[in-house]
Amino acid sequence: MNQTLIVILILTLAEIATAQQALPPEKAKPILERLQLGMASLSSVYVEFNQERHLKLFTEPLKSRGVMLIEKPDRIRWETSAPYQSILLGDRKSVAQFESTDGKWKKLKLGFPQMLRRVMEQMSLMHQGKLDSLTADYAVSVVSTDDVKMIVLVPKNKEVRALLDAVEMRMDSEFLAVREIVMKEPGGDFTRLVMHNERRDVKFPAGTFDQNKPLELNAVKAALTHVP
Amino acid sequence: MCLKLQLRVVALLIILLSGCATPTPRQTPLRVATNALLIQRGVLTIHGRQFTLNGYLALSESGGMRLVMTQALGPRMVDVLVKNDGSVHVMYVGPSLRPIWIERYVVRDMKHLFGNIATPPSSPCRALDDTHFEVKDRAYTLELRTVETKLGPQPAELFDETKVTK
Repeated sequence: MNQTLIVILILTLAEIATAQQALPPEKAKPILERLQLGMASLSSVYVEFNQERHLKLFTEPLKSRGVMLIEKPDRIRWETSAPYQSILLGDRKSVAQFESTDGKWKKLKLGFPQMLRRVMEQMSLMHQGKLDSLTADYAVSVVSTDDVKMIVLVPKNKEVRALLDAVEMRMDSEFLAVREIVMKEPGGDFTRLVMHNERRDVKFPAGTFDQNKPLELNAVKAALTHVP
Repeated sequence: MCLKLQLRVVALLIILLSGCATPTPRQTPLRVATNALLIQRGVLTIHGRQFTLNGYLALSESGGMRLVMTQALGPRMVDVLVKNDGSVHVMYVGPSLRPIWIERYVVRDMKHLFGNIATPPSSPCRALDDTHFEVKDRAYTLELRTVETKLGPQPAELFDETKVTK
């Protein structure tokens, strides 16, 4: 058997194994409904993340870190604090991006703002458990074993799948909070976001989501007395 | 805007990421390091619109360069190897991108900014300092910063075009 056949066989077996782990729809549905119900009462979320970009070419993952802030009904702030500084702010109507240059924030005149707003919206929906809002774009399945609790989103659009194989949302044992998000790309590269220091129902200070002059993150943190 | 059109426009932007035309001479080589992995952040401005990109540039001791570009929140877009003999190998190009565009524009700027050759007088590429670079063209500008430098020999496979990563 040549190497190509062996690789195809391994990939096929891996696919079968993954498929076997996915719960049938009748078992997945109550889990998704419970997640959405549990998140529905939340007014806001503060969560820090460590991002690892795994490119097969490089021996070590490329790391960055930051915070994600979500405030209902539709506001999100995604801020990368290292190794560069960048803020993305979005709501249902608009999106804004700031880059730090020599310690000063500069607002970008964004190209494709609709596309970026859509990405931000999807990130917000995922973290709020509103998966029914994503079913137009993704096939949603649930994997639940003793070791793994995750929700898998597979893009329905073929052209999107050429860039993104799947999004895996690794959940806590109760399926009530997102612990990790893994974005898998064709060819084996992937990005892992590990969430930590999550705080729920915090009151963000004025300016946190301001798309013209966002409040500095340090000031946001200082205002959230129960956020370390 | 439909997805296909979006992909094509993104492709156009990537092409222009490293284009060169307007003279802004700098005669000395701009290379900042060998045996290093440079992590870079770029802001591309084209027709008044701005886009952010991340770059991972591995530099060998002998002058080889391997660049992987990714979207800020997205997948790998370009993977290109420039060997120490100057030969160019486009290892991966994302959907809607053409290898010739990468060779013509991205590689040219890699050579001008980080190669072991003198930058031609006609180059629009210049270094503002060791970590801050600028490309100015009539149609666009690129502001590029090295945000992290990991010193140390890079794996030899990175500079071997026969080790293909799809």
